[in-house]
Amino acid sequence: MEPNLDKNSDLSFPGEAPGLFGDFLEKNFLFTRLQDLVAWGRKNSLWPFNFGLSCCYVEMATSLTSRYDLARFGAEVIRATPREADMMIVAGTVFIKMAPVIRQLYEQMMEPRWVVAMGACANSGGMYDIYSVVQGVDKFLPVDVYVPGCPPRPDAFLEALTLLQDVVAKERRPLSWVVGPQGVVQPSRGSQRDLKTPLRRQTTILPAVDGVQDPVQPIHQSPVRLEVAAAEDNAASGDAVRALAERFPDLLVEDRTVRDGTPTFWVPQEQVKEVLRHLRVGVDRPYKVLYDLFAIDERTRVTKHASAGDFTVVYHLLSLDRAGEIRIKTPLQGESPAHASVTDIWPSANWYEREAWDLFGIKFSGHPHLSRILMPPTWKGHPLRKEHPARATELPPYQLPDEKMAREQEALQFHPEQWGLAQHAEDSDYMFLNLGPHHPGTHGLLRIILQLDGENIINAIPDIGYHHRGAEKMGERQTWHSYIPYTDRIDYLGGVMNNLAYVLAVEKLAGIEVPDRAKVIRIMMSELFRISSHLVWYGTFAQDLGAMSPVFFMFNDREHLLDIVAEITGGRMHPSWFRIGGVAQDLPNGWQNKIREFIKYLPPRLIEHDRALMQNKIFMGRVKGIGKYTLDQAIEWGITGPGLRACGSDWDLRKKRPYAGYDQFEFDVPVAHNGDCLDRALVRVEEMRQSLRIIEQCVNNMPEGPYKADHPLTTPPLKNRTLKDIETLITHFLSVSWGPVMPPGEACVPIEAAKGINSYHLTSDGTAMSYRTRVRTPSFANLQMLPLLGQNVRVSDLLAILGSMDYVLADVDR
Amino acid sequence: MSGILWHLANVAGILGVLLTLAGGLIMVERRLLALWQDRYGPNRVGPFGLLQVAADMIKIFTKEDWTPPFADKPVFIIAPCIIMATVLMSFAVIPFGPTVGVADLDIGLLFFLGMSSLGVYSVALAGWASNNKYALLGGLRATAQMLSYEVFMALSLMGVVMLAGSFNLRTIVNAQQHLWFCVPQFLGLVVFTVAGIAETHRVPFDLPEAESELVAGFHSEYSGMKFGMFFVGEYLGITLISALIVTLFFGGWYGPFLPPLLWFALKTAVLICGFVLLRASMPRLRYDQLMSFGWKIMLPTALLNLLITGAVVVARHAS
Repeated sequence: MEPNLDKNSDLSFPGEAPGLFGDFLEKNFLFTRLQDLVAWGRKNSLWPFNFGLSCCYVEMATSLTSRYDLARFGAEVIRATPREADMMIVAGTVFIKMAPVIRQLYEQMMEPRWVVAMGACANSGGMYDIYSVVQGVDKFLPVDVYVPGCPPRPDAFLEALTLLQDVVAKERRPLSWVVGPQGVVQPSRGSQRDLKTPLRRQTTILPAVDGVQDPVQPIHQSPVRLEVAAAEDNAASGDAVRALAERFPDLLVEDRTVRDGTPTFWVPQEQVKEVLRHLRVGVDRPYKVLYDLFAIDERTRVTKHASAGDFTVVYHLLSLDRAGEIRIKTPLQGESPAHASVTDIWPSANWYEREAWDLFGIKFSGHPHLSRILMPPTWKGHPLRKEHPARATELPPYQLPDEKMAREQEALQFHPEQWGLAQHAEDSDYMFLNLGPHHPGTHGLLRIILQLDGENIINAIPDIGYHHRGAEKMGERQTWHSYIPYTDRIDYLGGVMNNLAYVLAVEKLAGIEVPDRAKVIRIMMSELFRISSHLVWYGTFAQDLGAMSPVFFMFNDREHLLDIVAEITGGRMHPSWFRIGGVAQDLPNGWQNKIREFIKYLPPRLIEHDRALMQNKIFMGRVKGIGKYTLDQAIEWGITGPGLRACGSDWDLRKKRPYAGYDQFEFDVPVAHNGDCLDRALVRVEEMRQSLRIIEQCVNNMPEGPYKADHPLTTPPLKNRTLKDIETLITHFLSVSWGPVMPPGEACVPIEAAKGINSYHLTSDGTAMSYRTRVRTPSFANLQMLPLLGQNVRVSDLLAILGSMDYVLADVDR
Repeated sequence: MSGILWHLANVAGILGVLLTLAGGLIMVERRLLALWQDRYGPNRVGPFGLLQVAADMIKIFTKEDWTPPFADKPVFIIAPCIIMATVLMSFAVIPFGPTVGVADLDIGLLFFLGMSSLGVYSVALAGWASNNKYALLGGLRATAQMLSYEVFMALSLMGVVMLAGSFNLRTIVNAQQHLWFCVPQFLGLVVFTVAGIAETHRVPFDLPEAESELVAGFHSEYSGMKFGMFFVGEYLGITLISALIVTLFFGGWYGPFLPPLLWFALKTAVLICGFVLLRASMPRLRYDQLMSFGWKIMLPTALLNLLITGAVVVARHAS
C-alpha cells in the first residue's frame, strides 16, 4: 500500500483498509480486540530456552551480544528451564542419542511454545547424512521457522525471530500442521530424501577411480626385519627403537607404508602388551603418554600390510621428554575379535578402548567398564565396521513414537550399582544428580552424573556421545578434498586450525611441499582462530562463575576478529579455507589494514578484561586452588595444550617439534605451575598475547609467491596452465570432479590446536577417499580426567573446573 | 471520614505505584545492563521500548499455568504468594514522605525484619514443593543463606535504632534531619547493604537460582504467573531494600529544594541503579564462601558496630 501522507484523508471506514491512524492503532498499543492484545504480548515477549546442540548455538549466542543485540526485540530473557521459555531454538545437529532428550524438553515447555530450527543440520541433517544424526528435527517436533545456513549468521537468526514474531502476531501455527478428522495432525509425507533411500542403498560403495587413472599398485609388503629399518634413524625415537629391538629380537616388523616419519611396528597380539609396558617403563625417557588408541577395520583394504589381520589396533605413544612418538600396531583376527586391555598401563586407555568396542566391536578383556561410549545404549551394530551403513538415509527414516521414547528414556537411566557406586553412606543417602545432557553449565551436550552428599560431590561420572556426528565414518565417503569442511566442525571454535591438521596429513601422504606464502598465511589464520577460541572460552568461563557482563565484551572482541576472517576467507566460524597444497585464495588487497588495527586493539582490551575479571576477588576465590592436578597426573591422562602447560611443563608442539613453518617465528610459551583453574586461565590469556605476536610477524614478513603448491595432487589444482596443455587440463578436471587420488599409505601430523594436540591419522587405500580417518582430539583426552577432578569438590567448583578445561563437545565426540 | 478516604487513597496509591515500579524496574534493569554491556536493550516495543514490560506481563498472564503432578500442590501454589505478600506488607511501614505512608508503626523496623524472615519460606517451600533435585538444592541454599544473613541484618540496624532511640521508621527519618546516618553508621550501612543483597538473592549472592549450576534453582518447575510472582517479587524486594536503606541511612525524604516525595524517589532510584550495576559486574560466590563471609566477616563487623555505637551513645548520655 502506498503510504498516505495526506492528513485529511486520515479516516477509515468499516470494510476499508485502515488509513494512517488505523495503522497506528494496529502497530501500537490501542487495541480493539483482546485477542490481538494477547497476540501482541506473546509476539513481543518471546523468551528463548537456553538450548543449544552444536556449532549453531555459538552463532545464536552471538546474536545476543552487542553487535546484534537480540534484546532489542525483548527476546534476551534466556530461560534455563523449559517451563518458563516460549521458544526452543534447535541450534545445531539433532543426534539420535539426543532426540529423546530434545523431545522431553519440548514437552516440558508450556503452551504456547514455538520451535525454530536453526542451521542446516536441524533443518534436514545438512552435511551430516550419517548414522548418528536425525535428518531434521521436524521428524519429531513441529517447526515454526527454519533458518538456513551452516551455521547461519547471527543476523539470520534475528530475521528468523522477526519472522516468528509475525507468525505469532497472526496466531498461526506452522503450515505443515493440518486439521484432520482426528484433531490437529502433521501429515507424514515422506521427504524427497526418504524416497531416494532405496536408490541410495544400492550405491553405498562408489566405484573406485581405477577406471579413470592407472590402477593402483597394491603394495603388499614383505615383512621388514628391524636391522634394516629406517626407523632407527629417527632423531627423537631412534635409541628407543634400538632398545626395543634388543629387548624383543625378531618380534617387531616395521611398517613402511607410514609416511609421517613416526617409527611404526607390527607386534603380534600376544606380545603387544609386553612391548607397550616396556615402552612405558623400560626404555630411557619413556613414552608416558598414550597419545591415541584406535582401531582399523582391515577386511576390505586392498593395500593392507602383510602383517595385518581382520582388524588392527593402533597404539600411538608420545614421549614428552623426547618430543618423539612411536606407533605400535597389532593385528586381530576374526569377525568379533578380542584383545587385552591396556588400562593397567595407561588409565587413559579407558575411554579409547570403550570407543573401539563401541565403534568396531572389539572386546577388551580386563577393561574396568567396557560399555558403549558414543552410541546410544540401545544401538545395534558397530558403526565404523565396513558392513555398517554410513548414511542415515540408508537406514529407515527416524521416528520417535511414544513407546520408543519411553524405551530410550529408560535406557538413559543411570544405575549406580553398574558403576560400583554406593547408594548410601553410613548414616545418610546419597543424591544422584543428573547434570545434562542439556544443562546451561556444560557448554554443550555433556552429561555428568553426580553422586552428592549435600553439595559435595563424591563421584562424577561423565557420559559422552550426545554429540557424535560420525566424522570418522564421514571421511570414508568424502573425497580427500571435500572432507575439509567436516574438519572445521570438529573443534567448532577452532575454525581453520582444524583444516591445518588435516591438510598437513594429506600433504604428507601426497608428498606435497607447500610454498612459503601459503605457510605463513596458514599460520596467521590459525593463530587468529586460536585467539577467537580463547576469547569464547574467556567469556563463557566468566559466565560459568556467575559474571554476566564479560561474555559480552569478549564476544565483541571476537566480532572484530571474525571481521578479519570474513574479509579474507568469506566465512566466519567455518571458513574451510585451507586446501590440499595451500589455501583457497590469495589474500585480498589491503588485507593488512584490519589485522594491524586488531593488533593495536586487542592488548588494551585484554588488560581491561584482566581488571574486570581476573583481578576480581570473588573470581580469584572461585578459581584459585580449585581443580588442581599435578604434571604427572596430566601426563598419565594424556592432557595436552594449556591444561598441560598450567602445571609446569612448557610442552608446546610449536616449539618442541615445529610444524608448518612455526620454527620461523618468535614467541614465548606461557607456563604456570599450580595446575589449578586459575593457572589454566592465565595460560590461555597469555597465549592470546603470544598469538598476536605471531600474527604481527606474519603481517610484517608475508612472503611473496604462490599461495598453492604446483603439484598434481594440489586440490583444486593451479589453473593457469590448464588451457595450454591437455594433460594438465585432464588432471585438473579429474582432481575437481573425482577428487585427487592419494597414494596408498598412512600419515598423521599432530598440531598444537587451541585446546591441545589434534591430529588426523589418514589411511589411504589408493583411492579418491580415505580408507580410515582417525581424528585424535584434545578435548576427548582432557575431559576423560574429569572423574579425578570431580571428587570431593562442590557443585559450583565442578562448573569452574569444566569451564577451565575448555573442551568443545564436537571435539570430544566427533 | 476524609481521614479514612485519605488513608485508602494512600494505600491504593502506594500499591499501584509499587507494582508499576516493579514492572518499570525490570525495564530499567534490562536497559541499564544493556548500556553497561555496550548494547541497546529492548527498544522495539512501543516508544523507546517502554511497552516491553507490558508485553511480558500479557505473555506471562496468558502462558499455560501448570502445577507438576509430582509436586506438593498446595505448597507449590502458596510459595510464590508468600514472597509477594511479605514484600508488599513490608512496604506498609516505609515512610515515603512526611505525610505519605501506610502505617506508622512504633515497631516498624521489627515488623520489616519479621516480614523478611517470613519471606525465606517462599523460596525454601518452592524448592521443597517442586520435588525436583535442582529446585531442592536451590531451596537448601536459600535457607542456609538467609538464616545466616538474617542474623547480622538485624544486628546491623541496631546502631541506627540506638541513635534514633526508636524502632519507628518515621522517627528514624526525623532523627536524620541534620546528619544522615550513613556517616555515623557507615559500618552498619555496609553490612545492611550486603545483607540486603543476600536477602533479595541477587548477584553475587544469587546462589539459590545460580543458572550455570542449578538450571533455575528453586523456581525450576515454575511457569506462567506463578513464576511471574517470583520475578516481580525479586524486583519489589530490590525496591524495598533500596527504600529501607534510604530511610535508615540517607535521611529518607529530607533534601533541599525538591519536594520530599521526589527526594525519596530519587535516592531510591540511585540505589536501585547501584544494585543493577552490581549485577553487571560481579561473579558469584560459592556456597561455603558465602557462609564464611557471613559468619566470619559480616557478623563480627555488625557486632563491632553495635559495640562502638553503644559506647558512644552511653558516653553522650553520661556527659
